[in-house]
Amino acid sequence: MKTFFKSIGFKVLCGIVAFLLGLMIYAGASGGLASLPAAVSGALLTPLQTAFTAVGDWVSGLFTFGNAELEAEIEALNKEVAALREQQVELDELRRKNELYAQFLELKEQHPEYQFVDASVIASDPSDPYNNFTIGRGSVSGVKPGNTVITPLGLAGVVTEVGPNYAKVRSLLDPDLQVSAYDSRTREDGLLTGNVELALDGKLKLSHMDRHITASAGDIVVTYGGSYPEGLMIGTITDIGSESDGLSKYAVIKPFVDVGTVSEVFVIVNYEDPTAGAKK
Amino acid sequence: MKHSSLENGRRALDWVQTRYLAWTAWGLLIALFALLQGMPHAFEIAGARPLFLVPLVVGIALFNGPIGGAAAGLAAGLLWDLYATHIYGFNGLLLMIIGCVAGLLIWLLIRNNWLTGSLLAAAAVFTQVLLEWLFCVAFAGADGAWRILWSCMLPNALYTALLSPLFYWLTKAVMRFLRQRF
Repeated sequence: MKTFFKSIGFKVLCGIVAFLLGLMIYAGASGGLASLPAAVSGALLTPLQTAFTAVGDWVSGLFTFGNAELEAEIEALNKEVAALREQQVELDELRRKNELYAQFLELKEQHPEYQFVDASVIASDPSDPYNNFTIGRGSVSGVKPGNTVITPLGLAGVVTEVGPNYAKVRSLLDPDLQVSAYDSRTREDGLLTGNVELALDGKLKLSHMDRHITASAGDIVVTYGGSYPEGLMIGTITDIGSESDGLSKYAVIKPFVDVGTVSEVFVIVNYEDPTAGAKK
Repeated sequence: MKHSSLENGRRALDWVQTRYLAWTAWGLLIALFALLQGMPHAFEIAGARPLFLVPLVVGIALFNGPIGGAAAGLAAGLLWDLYATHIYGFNGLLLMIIGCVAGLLIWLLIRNNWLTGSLLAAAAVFTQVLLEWLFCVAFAGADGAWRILWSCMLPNALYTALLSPLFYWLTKAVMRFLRQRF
C-alpha cells in the first residue's frame, strides 16, 4: 500500500484528479461542455455513434419483424419468400422515412420562414431520467445553442451544447427547460416546465395559469413565442389542477412527441428570439 | 557485452510493444462499450438500460492493477461524459476512482476469481449510481429525487449488476488472449 502511494503512478493519478476537478469547475462556470478535449473527442466519437445507432436500428428493425418472418420461413422454407420479406423490410423503412419527410414537408410549408436541419438521435445517457439526447449535427451544420428541436409532431427540446458534428439536446421533459405556452382554444397562457414526478410518466406541467381559466382536458397547447418559435405544437391537456397556494392553476400536458423513442429530429437554425435584445 | 545490451534492448522493445498492444485492445473495448452504452434504446429491458462501462472498468482493473484500472476508468468515464447530461468530467473522475479502488482491493485484500470480480463490479455499479444520484440529482435539489433513484437509476444498476459476471469472463478472456499472443 505504501509503495502504491509513493509511486509515480499515484502522483500522476492525483494530478489527473486535480486536472479533472479544474475541468469540471471550468465546464460548470462556462455553462457546459465547452472544453477543448470534450469537443475534439466528441467530434471523433460522433461518426462512430452514428454508425452504431444505424446498425442498432437495423438490428431492431429485423427483430420487429422477427417473429412473422421466422414463422413464415419455417412454413415455406422458400428462398423467394425470404427475398420478398427483405424487400418488405426495406420498403417499410422507406415508407417510414417517406412519411417522416412528408410530415416534414408539411411542417416546412407551415413555417416557410424557418430553416431546418435534419438530424438523427445518436446517443442518450442511460442514467438520465429526462431522456435528454445527443444528435449527429453540430456547428458545422449551423446548429447553435438555444436552437429549437422539433419533430413533425411538435416540440422535442432545445440545443444546449454544440460540438463540430454533434449537439446535446435538452428534452421537453427536463425540469430545467421552461417554455412559455398557451391553450390554442382559449389562448390562456402559462409556463411549461418538466416536473420529476410527471416526467417519469412522460408528462409536463403548464403552471402559473390564472385561477379562472376555462381550459379543459383535450385542449391543445402550443408555444407562445419568445425563446421558441410561436405556434409549435406541444401536447394535449389531460388534467387541470389548483396549485397548493390556491392562487393559480396548472394543467398536466401529454406531449405529442415521445422524447424517449424519438430517432429523427429537425433543428430550427435561423430563429432569433425577438425579445432577446430587450432581455439584455 | 555488446550482445547482452542488444538482448536487453530487444526485451525492452518487446515489453513496450506488448504493453502498447494490450492497451490498444483495452482502449478499443472501452470505445466499443461506450458506443453500445450510448445507443438510444439499445439493450433496454422494461425501461432499464445497462451501464456497460462500470463492470468493464472493474474487469480491466482486476487484471491490470490500480493504475491500469484508473487509466481505464478515466478513458471510459470521459467517453461516457460526451453524451451524459451532467457536468463534463464527472464520470471520468468517478470511474477513475472506481477503477483505482477496484485494482487496489484485488491487489491487497480480495482474491481474483469470477465471484469476487462479479461482486466487486456489482458493488461498483451501485456505488456509481448512488454517487451520481447524490451529486447530480439529490444535491441539485430536484423534486422527486427518490423516485428518480427508485424507478430509473436503480433498475439500471440492477440490470448491470446481473451482467457483471459476463464482463469478468470477457476481460479474463481478453487478458488470456493477450498473454498467449504477446
